[in-house]
Amino acid sequence: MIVTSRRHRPPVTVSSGLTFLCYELTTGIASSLEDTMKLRAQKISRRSVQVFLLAVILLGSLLAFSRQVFAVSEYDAPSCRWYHAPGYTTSISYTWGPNVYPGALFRAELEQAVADWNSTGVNFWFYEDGSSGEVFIDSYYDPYGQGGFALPYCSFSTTVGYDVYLNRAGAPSNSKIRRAESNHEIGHAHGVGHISGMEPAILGYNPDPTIYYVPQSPDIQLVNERYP
Amino acid sequence: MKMQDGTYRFWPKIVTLLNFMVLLLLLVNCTVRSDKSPQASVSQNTTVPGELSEAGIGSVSAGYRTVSSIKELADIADVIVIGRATATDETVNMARDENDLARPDPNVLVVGRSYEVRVSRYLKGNGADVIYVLLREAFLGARAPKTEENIAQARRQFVQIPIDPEKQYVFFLAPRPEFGEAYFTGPKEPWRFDISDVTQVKPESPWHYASTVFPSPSLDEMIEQLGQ
Repeated sequence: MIVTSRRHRPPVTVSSGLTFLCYELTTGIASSLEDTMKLRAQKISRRSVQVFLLAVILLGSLLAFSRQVFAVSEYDAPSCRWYHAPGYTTSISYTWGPNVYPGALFRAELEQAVADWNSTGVNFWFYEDGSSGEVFIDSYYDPYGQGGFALPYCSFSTTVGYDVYLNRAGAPSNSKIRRAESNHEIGHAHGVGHISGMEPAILGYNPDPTIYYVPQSPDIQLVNERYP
Repeated sequence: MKMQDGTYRFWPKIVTLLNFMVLLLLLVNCTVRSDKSPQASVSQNTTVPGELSEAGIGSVSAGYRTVSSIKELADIADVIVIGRATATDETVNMARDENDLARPDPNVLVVGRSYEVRVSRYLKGNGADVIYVLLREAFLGARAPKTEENIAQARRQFVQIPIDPEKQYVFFLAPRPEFGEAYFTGPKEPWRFDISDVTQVKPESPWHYASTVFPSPSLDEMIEQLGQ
């Protein structure tokens, strides 16, 4: 008999329920191993073992499939990624450009955006570094232009810097929308592109930036998947 | 080998071996991480900003300012025209000095290419038979060296759809008088619609969700929406 215990469930970090499923599976198999040892001294039905193995294989396949299905995908992955050691927090320094001095347009929202992302629990920590930060944050003026840009610097496939720019021309009068734009570009500086799909996201489809102005679940999931 | 009591002698060993293999595969796949510590930190030890010039420019991520309806687009456009466009050799820096739009930004470069548009009909506003539409095709921040090689690389990394001289479009435009009397650009995305097939007017935009938000109406329906 397979006995599945939930007593010693470890803390899990993956947002979906897949990790729980993994735990249940592995626990079940571990229990079955114990049972198998006992079965050496007992009579065993060949059919029940076959059923068990079939169930394990089917569940494993389902798990692998669902991990693919529920993964967040980028439709424009950046050319390079930050170096990141799995399980660790990568610290990234940033520097303010001359056009986002304290009190300047976008400065407050950019500061909030850095704090917003730092509080998501993703494996990055952005900290201010006087003049030599890896990420350079500034603004520019291009009437009717894009809301902003994030430009990576790549050494082969490794990111070595990012320029983040917000467009002051036509800047939204609503500070929440400016914060959404700031979170969007700071999100890119985490080394990710744009998210596919219609679920509201800062880095994807945003139906109303006055509502969705901080990182959303798909944004956090994307960074966590690319930088576990 | 079947034993006298009806069980198989080697079967438990085989089951144990298979179980170990499945368990190992699942553990590798599941990546249940219980060892994550918020204090764990690794600093980037890559290129210092002064050496960014040696790094390559990666794919730029743009954050678009968008509209969600033809009506909204028509309201913010000063001019709406139907016409065909041909690229010219003229390029300008669309990033400007905020205090004097006649002067380009000395540090940021937003390369805009000029397209000559032969207007067949004005749907809103009026003006010359030939106007110029500027299309952004590269971005370089203050830290990026503005070498020819870098600008060419930035062009390659920039997401934009060139205007097709074979197609007829409806252009929603806003003036950029600092470049000349008849110079325009799109006010927000999407700002041009392919009307090659008048039964299906399609937005042509680097904004990923343009075709989702703007399902293809007929040209007559679009013109009707302009008047509402």
